[in-house]
Amino acid sequence: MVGYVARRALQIIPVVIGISVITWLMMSLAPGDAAEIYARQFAENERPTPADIERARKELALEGHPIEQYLRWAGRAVHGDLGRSFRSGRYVVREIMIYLPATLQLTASGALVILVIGLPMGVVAALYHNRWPDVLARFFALLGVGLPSFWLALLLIWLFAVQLQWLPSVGRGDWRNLILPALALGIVGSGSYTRLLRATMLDALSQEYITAARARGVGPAGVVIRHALRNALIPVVTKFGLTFGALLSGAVFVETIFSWPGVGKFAVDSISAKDYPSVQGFVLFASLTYVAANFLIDVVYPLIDPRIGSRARASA
Amino acid sequence: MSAAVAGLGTPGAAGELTPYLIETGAQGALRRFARNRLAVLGAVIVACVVFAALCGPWLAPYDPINGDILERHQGFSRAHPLGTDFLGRDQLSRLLHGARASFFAALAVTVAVITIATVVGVTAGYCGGAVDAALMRMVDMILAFPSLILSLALIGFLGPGLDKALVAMTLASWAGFARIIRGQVLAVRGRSFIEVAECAGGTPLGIILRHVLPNVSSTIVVLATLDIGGNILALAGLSFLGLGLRPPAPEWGRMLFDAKPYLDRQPLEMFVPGLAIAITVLGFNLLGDGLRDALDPSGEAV
Repeated sequence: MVGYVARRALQIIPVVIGISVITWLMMSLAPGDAAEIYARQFAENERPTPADIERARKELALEGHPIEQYLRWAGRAVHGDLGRSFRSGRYVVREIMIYLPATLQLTASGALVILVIGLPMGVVAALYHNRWPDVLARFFALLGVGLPSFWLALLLIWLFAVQLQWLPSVGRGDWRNLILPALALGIVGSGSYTRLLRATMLDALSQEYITAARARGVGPAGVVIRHALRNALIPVVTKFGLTFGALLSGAVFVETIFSWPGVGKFAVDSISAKDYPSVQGFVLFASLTYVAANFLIDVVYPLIDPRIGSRARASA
Repeated sequence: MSAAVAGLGTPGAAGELTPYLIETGAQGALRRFARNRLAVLGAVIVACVVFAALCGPWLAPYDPINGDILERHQGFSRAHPLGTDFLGRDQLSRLLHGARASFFAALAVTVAVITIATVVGVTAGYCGGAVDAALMRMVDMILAFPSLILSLALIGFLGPGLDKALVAMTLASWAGFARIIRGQVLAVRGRSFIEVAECAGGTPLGIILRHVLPNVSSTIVVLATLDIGGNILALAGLSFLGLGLRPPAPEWGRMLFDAKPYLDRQPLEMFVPGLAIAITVLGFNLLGDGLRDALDPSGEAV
């Protein structure tokens, strides 16, 4: 098991290097001289002297051979220095740390919505195969796949904030502020989970070990939960890595609509302001968390699937 | 649409087939497709969207860009069937013109993505070895980013605008498809008819064009259909954030953005474009799923 985790951790290294190379290369896509844009932000009357531009070039690690530039940039990044925001002049990493808790709270709540809405619907659909709960769940799953999160957010605001006036529509305060953004983020992802769990549950319920469990006198609840659901959940767990990426992407829209002070809103504001180091910081942060989430799932996976667990143990 | 739904109840000759017999060939695929009600619904929705994209500008009753400010925020009426927006522009006209922008932009991205993915996937799968390893490491690197976040970041550097949004979306989404196509090519490459063609002295390019591509074409068609829906959604999202089509051009995501401040006064402005996006994406997804089931009844590919 330790060997398996270690091997999986080693596989991450080239991926992380790849992420850093692509993120660094993005700077060269920018039209014009980034150092000049940077210097202009901080110079008096927006007219930087050549010395200012040279200093900016040094600070952005934009001098010398490209490989030298990358190594200098990556070296600083390893030490948590991604340069300063063009807008605020503060260090990008520090800025992201300010916005990060709000985003993590939102994505975790979105994941909770998937757990509470998407998964039970999949189980119910499988148990009532081809009866009305199944039809309802399939309809929900179908809608959930194509529904734009930004439209769903507007619909939720209209219904709960404007018409019913139950919940606030913008900002971050107490738990009441969290409900609508979390729903907007989670419902969109729920549909595909309902669909997946319905399929895997139907498959599990038709297996021989279910018949065997029933024959041994296991009660209906025991059969469903301990025997069918446990096995049906295994593919669902692997899908969660992908969903984490979708939640991070969805957070960009949801945070913008609800004025939620998270990394997604920070990213959109940075993009509009051509704040290159902040955009780099955002994409680096988002992809590294995405990779970390997938790594965690790969580590947890053998623990819930006994077949893979024993294989991983055997090969370790 | 109602005519098609009415026709669904009559499967005709196809209904008499036993489900255990899987027909091969185009006719079998067509029959399986026609039996799938959701797939037919998807095809009808897609046909409507394509029709609106092709003929929208001629069907639109008003100018989509210049409205009558005195008639702003109107609800349903005979003059404006879907109401007007905050500048008094006719929503139906903007929707029809927007269909053209959304559909053709999404199509352009899909064509670019599928072309790149096919070239990379076929090269990697057919050549194998170091070429395969190098190309797949590149694919892994790009897949380490959530694709929407990668396209957002690319737009951050390229700048806003439709052309740049399309480039960013293409660069961010080809990798996953390249990997799927490579897998399909690997499966085909191991079959004996490729060996026969190689022994008969076929050139690699000839074998790829004559034997490999036809065998992965159904995968490519399914991927492309699903991708158009995803691209329409992504483009609407980018325009909603102010990073896609620039105002005052009519675009569905932008229409949603424009409607947001007036949620309390005229929610119709938000219902119309949102519903258009949702139904369109649903249509492409249903069509794609239906094509997959029809072209690959064993459910092995994709």
